[in-house]
Amino acid sequence: MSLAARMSALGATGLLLVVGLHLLQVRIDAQRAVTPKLQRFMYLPQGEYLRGAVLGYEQVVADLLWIQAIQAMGERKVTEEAGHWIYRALDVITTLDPKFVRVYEAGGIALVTLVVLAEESNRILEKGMKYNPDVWTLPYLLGFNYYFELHDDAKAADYIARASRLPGAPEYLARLATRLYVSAREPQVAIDFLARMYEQTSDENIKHVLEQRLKEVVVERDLQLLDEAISRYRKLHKRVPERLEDLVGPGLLRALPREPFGGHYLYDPQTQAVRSSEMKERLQVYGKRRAQ
Amino acid sequence: MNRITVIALNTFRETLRDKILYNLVFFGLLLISSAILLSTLTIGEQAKIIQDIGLASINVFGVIIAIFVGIGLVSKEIEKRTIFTIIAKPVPRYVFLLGKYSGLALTLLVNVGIMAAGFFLTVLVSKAGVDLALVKAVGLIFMELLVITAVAVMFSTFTTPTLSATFTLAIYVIGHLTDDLRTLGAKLGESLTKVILDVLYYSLPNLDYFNVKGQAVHGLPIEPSYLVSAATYGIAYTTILLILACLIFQRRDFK
Repeated sequence: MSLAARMSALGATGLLLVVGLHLLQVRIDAQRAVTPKLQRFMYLPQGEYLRGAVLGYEQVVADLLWIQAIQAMGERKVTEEAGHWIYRALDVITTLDPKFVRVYEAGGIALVTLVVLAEESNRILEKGMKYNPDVWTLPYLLGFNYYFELHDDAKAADYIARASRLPGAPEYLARLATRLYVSAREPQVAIDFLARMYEQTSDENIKHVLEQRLKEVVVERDLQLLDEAISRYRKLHKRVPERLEDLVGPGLLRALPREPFGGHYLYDPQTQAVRSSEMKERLQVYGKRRAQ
Repeated sequence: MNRITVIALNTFRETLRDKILYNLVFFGLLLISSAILLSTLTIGEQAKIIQDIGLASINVFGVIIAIFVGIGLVSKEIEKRTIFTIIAKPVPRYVFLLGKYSGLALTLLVNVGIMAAGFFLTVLVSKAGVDLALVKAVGLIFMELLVITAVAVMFSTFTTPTLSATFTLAIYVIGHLTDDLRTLGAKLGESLTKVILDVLYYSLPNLDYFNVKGQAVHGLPIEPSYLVSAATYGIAYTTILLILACLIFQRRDFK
């Protein structure tokens, strides 16, 4: 074989190998995709050890982990197991960079909205307060958790009051705290609370989550309103209403509430139960407490 | 003094001829691409992340140059036999060594200066506003580089480039972990191990003194008095290393 022929044979082999390598890579990626990306967080070392190992580059490593964690949080469905991994990642990130306030804020919210891990969310927020005692949003969010998830109005009021005393806190926080101190759990208080929080947030992702929750609470308020109207109707007419429209009238409702998700309210005359066409079940917040 | 300047300037030119400044291209690309990519990847905090990446890159690039150019400064001259032409002249060996060191320090100064300028520009463009703290952080990074260069030059006076690189890299890693040596010692109580650990703690450079990147990015105060003590520590440590290097180099036998 001449040198030229040998060289072209070599080139062809090289080309084949490149194609083969590419195919192999695609295959390996597919194999790896079986285990969720999030599982990577499981192998993260403890924050304290990682801190030593990154040789003074804590901030950048924290940033990189944070970017990965957000992608994980952005996944369509976050299981409770994934929630625990997210918590672990957030814990490591904030150990590396304890002043990374955004992580506490977004993590604290995500851990009670994407999944319900109120205890973990509280732990992240408390850690944030320890290292950033001057940031009002952290006790504010803790108050949020105590109000919505743990149903401890007194503690919620404590934290909101604490937040209201910190620099930069909006002035309505003090009033909100007062209301919380005296109020029982009323949907309207919750709607006010969420609406204020929505106004305070500049982050689009969090805003979206808050908007969802706000609508859910509005649905719950409306359902409570309809429930009351039904019982008043039964007292007035000594029979059950056949349709929701029957509830509009003197002594009952002025108009039927509009479903905030764009659906409508459904009524079952057999059981006199009302529900939203857009929500599978009623918000548990006002029924029984969420399992912890 | 004049002779040191001549050798320093020559070393500076030599490093430039070695295309050392190409790292600036990578630095620029890294900053620009991260600035663009981050806006799609993160929710908020881009300003913080860009500052983190900028400071960390200045640090990493600086350390790489300090180590890998530093270890070759003396050995290259020996290998190419160019050292004989200098030693044969009435130039004391310590002048040669100090000149070489100053030349690399100048290269690093120019390099870090250009990187810092690009970094501040990026920060300005990202509308974060350049805080004086960032300048302080870059200043201390440069101080760290001076110490590492001195370590590299010191090792290169008596061992091969490969070993020098390994040793210097090891010192860089240990230098960021010396706090742990002391913590470990404190836990051991009074014992010989504690004494050894303490000796190690005080003899190895504590490079974490020069790390105020986190404070700078989070806008925490960096006291001028701290800057002065950290810089003094760096200069003192560098001087000791250079004296040691000169003493070793004086006794070195060239084959």
